[in-house]
Amino acid sequence: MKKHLIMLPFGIIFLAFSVIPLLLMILDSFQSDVTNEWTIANYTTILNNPYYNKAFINSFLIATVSSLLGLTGAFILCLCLLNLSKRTQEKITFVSNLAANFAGVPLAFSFIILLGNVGVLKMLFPLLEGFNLYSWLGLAVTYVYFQIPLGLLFIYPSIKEVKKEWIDSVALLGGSKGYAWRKVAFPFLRPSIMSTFVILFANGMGTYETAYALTGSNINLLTIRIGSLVSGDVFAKPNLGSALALLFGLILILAMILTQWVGRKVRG
Amino acid sequence: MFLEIRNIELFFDDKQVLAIDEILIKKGELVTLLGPSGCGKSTLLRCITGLEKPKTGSVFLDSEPIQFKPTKERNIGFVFQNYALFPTMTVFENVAFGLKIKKLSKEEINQRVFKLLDLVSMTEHAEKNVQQLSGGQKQRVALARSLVTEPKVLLLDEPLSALDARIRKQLQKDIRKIQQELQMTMIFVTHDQEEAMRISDRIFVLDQGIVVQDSTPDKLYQKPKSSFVAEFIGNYNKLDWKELEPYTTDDFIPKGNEFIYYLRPELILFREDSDTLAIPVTLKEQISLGPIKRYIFQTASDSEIMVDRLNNGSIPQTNFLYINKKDILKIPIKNV
Amino acid sequence: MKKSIVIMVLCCFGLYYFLPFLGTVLYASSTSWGKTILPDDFTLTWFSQLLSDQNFLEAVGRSLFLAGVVLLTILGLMIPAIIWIYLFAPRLNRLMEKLVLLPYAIPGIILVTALLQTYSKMELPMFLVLIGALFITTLPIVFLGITNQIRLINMRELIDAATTLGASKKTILFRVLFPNIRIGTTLVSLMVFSAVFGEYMLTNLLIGGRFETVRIYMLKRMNENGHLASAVVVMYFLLMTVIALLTFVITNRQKKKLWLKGQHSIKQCSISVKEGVTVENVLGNS
Repeated sequence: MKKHLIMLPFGIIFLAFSVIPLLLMILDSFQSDVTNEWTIANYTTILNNPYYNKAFINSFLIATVSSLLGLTGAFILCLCLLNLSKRTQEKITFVSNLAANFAGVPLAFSFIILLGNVGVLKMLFPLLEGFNLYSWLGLAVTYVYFQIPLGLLFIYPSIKEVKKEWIDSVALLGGSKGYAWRKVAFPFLRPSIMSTFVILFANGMGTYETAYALTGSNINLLTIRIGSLVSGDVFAKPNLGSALALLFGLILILAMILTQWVGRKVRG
Repeated sequence: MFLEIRNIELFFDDKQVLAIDEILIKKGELVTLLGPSGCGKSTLLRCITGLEKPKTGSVFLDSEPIQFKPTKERNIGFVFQNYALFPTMTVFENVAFGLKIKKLSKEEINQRVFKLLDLVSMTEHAEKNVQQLSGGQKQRVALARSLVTEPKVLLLDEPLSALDARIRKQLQKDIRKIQQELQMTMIFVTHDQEEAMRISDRIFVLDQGIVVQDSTPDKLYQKPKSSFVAEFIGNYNKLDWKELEPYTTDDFIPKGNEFIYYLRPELILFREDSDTLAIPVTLKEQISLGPIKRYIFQTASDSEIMVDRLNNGSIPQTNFLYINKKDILKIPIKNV
Repeated sequence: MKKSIVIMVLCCFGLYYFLPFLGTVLYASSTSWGKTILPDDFTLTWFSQLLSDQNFLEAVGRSLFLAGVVLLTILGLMIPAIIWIYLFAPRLNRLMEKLVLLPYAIPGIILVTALLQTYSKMELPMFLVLIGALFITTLPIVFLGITNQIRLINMRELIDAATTLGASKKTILFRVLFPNIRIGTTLVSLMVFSAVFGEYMLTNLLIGGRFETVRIYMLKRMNENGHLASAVVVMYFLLMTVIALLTFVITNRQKKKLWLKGQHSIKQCSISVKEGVTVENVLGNS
């Protein structure tokens, strides 16, 4: 039993700072902020209030769009990488990880410089004049900057597993390269594409710093809403925040289950 | 000739990897490309399919030039060493793949696929996912997959090298049987000379991108043209003139380093015969190789000579080994 | 894919990733940038102002302090626990491998909410809560990094070898285990360092204004003086690049070492009476 002592401090910290607080949060979400009685009022508020509904929709839109763009970008980048030497591949993955580090305040600020109201790119290309960085689309485009490296990180190992012999075999049997990718490579990659999408989606939904730095509390996002409810800017409603956070978590778990189910079903 | 391959030259960076003069193959022949690793045999195979593009050269298949056709139009079957079966599909779907591309009807696909699965003895596994199969089973499916489209020639790139010995032997037999049944022209690539001898109609020995000899298995073993082939194809005894000349009375073994001499272990005798050389020896050790017993003798000049006999009795005591002059293989030094 | 298309695509990506950084650097080195493509002047005043700003230096100090404390708890508590789980609780290990991807899927904001609800009412200083939160969020990185390292060096075989040679538990710990995970620990520490240094949300929401780290400082400056903020970004990013390069170099050096080792087969351990000598031999193989 003495051996197990090593686990003790670790276990305590783990329980104290993740499991127990999460359980308490779930309990709190069923308590009113005003009185202290048990109620589901928090949940009814969220579901009925269009303000909070908008937050869900915004976050969902941004997450989905940035994930799709990020996944596509990462995929294209992977295909390019496969054609290069091993050393170049390593260097590019290095740069990609570095770029992911740029996320947050630095990213937001640099995009303001480039595409903000007096952005440099807007002056160079009048076409971009109508682009509003501070809309949900602008946010999505900004998110893509770190979604691509994240997607690359998860998709790259799987794409490397696609064997050249499969593509060659299809050619020998009379099929084109496109046919080979459609019928052999993509079905093979489908599970990892799905799980990467989930990770990107969760990442997009859960981003706080970049959004906060770019638009402050102005844009209606789930994470920002939760943050202001819980940490009490002016009117703190922590239990409402807990309810919101719980719903948020449930949506993500639902997304995970759905994509797993889709991935498995089509596998046949 | 059914398949004519001429003047193939291929370079990797600046190194010349293939320099093939001519390879002519008859219809319905099973020909093996044999050689050590890196001699270019797999590369040559890939040139025939179009997966590798040589600098020069021509390939005629059934009187049609195919060297400029894209791979998918060449109608050539290929079996890879690591099977390359499509991972998310069943056995049936893998084999049916080529037929689906040709857009055949469901009934016809069904019929042809099962006919082939029967040929490779995999009918009962038709609905299994290929990941669940053993190595030998996978290779059977790969074989079926490449034969179902009725290609004009089937190429096999070291298909059995990844399998263990017993499965290998079984598949060697089965492949040969299928080939003869379908009258299919096949080119088999291997580095295992025993495998090549077992199944081929003819063997092409390659060394560093060049064909050094092509013959039937028997002729290749009995009359290798160079030292390379002799040492690759069989377990010959290698001797130079100093070890044989003292025991001759005529000019049969000339003085000087003009030839290298090879003696087949199974042709060395323990008794004098019509026209033999006698070499004084002492017995050093005996090795049992199962059906063969190998005796290792030591000569006066400290060289070793192996003598192979069937493992069905012991040998007489002897101080001499006898070899018929006609059984001594002389290979000129310049052919090394 | 054709080589030319590949190069074109990579150039596009390169441009997309480089431009924001370039923009920031230019902004940080100028005092006015009107409606022109390039800024009006070039100056390093912002950088010098930054380095003499007391608040900035204090913020850097706090970030370093935070990173240091987190690293200590990780080295002292997390890593030993991870190693223990790997060696003695394989079922738990497998469970952990699956759980560890969870933080990628469940965002930190939920954790923050839970923690605030639980601990803001108590007497517990929020700094400790922050350490706890960072402990949890860095768990995936540390877990994957260390288990990777352990697998790479075949830790179990080494320990078995040492045990059969008669080494005591203490010897195994200090002379077999620790030296061999040094590289992995260094790598993980670097990654944790950059993660903590770049952390914003947990710090801001749990403690906020009372503990201003570099990132919080960055955001504050952003709303006041863009040029100064850009300068902070540039310096922060340079630091991150240095850490990333170090990580890259160390990983490559280890790869080379392992490749070389693969070339020589592991020689027999000579069994000698003295423990020290035998363990030296075992170490020599690792």
